[in-house]
Amino acid sequence: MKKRLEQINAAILFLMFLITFFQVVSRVVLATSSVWSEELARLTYVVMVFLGAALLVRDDGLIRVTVLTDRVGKRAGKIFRILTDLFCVPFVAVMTWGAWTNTRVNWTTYAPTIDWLSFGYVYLAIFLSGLLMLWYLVGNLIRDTRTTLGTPSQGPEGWQ
Amino acid sequence: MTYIITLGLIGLFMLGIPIAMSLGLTGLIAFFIEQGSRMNIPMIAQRMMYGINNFVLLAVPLFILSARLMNTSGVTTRLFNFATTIVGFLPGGLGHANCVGSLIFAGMSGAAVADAAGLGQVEIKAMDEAGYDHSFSVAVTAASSTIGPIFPPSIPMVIYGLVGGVSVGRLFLGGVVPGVLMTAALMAMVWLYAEKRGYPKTPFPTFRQIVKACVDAFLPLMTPAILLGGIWTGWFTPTEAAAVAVAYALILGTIIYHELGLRDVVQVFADSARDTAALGFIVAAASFYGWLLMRTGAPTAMAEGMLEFSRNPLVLLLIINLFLLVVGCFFETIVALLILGPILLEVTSKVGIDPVHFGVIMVLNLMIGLLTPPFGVVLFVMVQVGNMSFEEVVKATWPFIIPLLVVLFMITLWPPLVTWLPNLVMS
Repeated sequence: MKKRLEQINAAILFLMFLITFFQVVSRVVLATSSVWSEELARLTYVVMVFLGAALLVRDDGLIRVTVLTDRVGKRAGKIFRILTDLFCVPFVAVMTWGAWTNTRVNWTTYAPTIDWLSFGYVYLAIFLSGLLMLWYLVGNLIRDTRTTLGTPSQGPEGWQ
Repeated sequence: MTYIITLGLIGLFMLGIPIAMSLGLTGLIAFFIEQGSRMNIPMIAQRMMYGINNFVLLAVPLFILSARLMNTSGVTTRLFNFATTIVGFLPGGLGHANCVGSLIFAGMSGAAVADAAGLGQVEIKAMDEAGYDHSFSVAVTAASSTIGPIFPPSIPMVIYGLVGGVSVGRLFLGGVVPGVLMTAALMAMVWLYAEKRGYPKTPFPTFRQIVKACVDAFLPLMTPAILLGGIWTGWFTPTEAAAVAVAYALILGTIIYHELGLRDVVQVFADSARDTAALGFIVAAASFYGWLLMRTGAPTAMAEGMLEFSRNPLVLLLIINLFLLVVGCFFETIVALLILGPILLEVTSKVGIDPVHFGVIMVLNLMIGLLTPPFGVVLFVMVQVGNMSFEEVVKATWPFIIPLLVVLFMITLWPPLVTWLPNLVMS
């Protein structure tokens, strides 16, 4: 599923590029400025960021400061990772909850320049990305807890 | 409340919690303390979406894309060969080519890491083969990569323009002269090393060689011209310019050089989407955090505190420079811009400092931060690309921070170095 989602996100980026490029071509070459392209490009960007962030949660790929965590031993590092994922859960959960409320409230609020695009769709994408983040966070937590409990500490590098 | 929101954030950063999540979690806690159980939960997603629903920001993924496409399609090698031909005859030839190559690459890319990781590999390999000390090659590559976000286009300047409401076109033009100055300062440093260590130089190029190098590199060299020319003439906005750069890089890589296959292109888009999400999610979370920070009144209090200390623009700029150099050691560039940008702009605008001038100073400062431990992103890239330990990279790179500091000092003292070009072109 991860591979598929990555391809979807690459396709969204391609779409965003096409729309922005079309906007230049239509204005400079065809001399007609399109009204809807800017808004559509922006909203594709929003969707790409949230979906992409969910994939990064899965791979521990979000940007972080590793100065301290790089210096601790393997086992301590794993405990740090468990803590990290635990810390992330409340924020992601509240964000996702709020995104769902926004999805319902904005379902019939349409983008000013695109009459078929409801802001509800965009919030739905944020809501689904949030769910995906929670799914991955819980998965990572289960995996890390298992391996941390399973492996004994090793020498001076370990937990002591 | 102010303490929670500031110290709490730093604490979470240090624990290794992802930056975006730290911003979100600190914001959530502060929000809960402020509003309790009546907390307006949908506001969080709204603020996050609002923060990234901005056309200016779209320049970021597009410039990431164009730099990656250029790196993958063999453009970087052509550029380095071109730079070697035109400056290789100076003492320490390839070191100069490294600086000039970075300046040209800066004209198509907006991030230091793209330069260090892409062009850097070509540069270090060539310098190793020509008998330069490996640590010297790594140091020059690291230092020259910081030209990338100063010379336009520039991802940090897009972010600064976004938070400060400053014209990105003007900021881009403001970076032209400082970018060239940085190149010159680094070349002077290379010259010193070359004289001391007796580094080789290539023979002076014949007319035919110069013509050949120009012809080979002509199409990639046109990228900065198209970008700047387009923004200059008002044909397109910086974001649209980025889309044009992507289209141009795609045409160069697929139709003209035949080095990009469909599989490469898909991979480049997937990797760029990943980088985009990593940055965009931070911007989104910082937008929620920043909104709460503003409500605490802490930024205004901080700005007033600084103004009480001094109202002399130069004194303030020097203090801010020192402060940012320290911040740059610990903070990620984009985070520093998002959180500190609005606060510092409030101070500088009150004493009449041009926001474009200050923007270039702030970005250059944070670029120096990319080279300073413990959290210097370019240093980390060099550990991988140069295959050295972190300590070795730090030791090799630090002398090259001096010429960059000299340039920072120059543009701080003499604003026209930054503001002259944008005022000339866009008045």
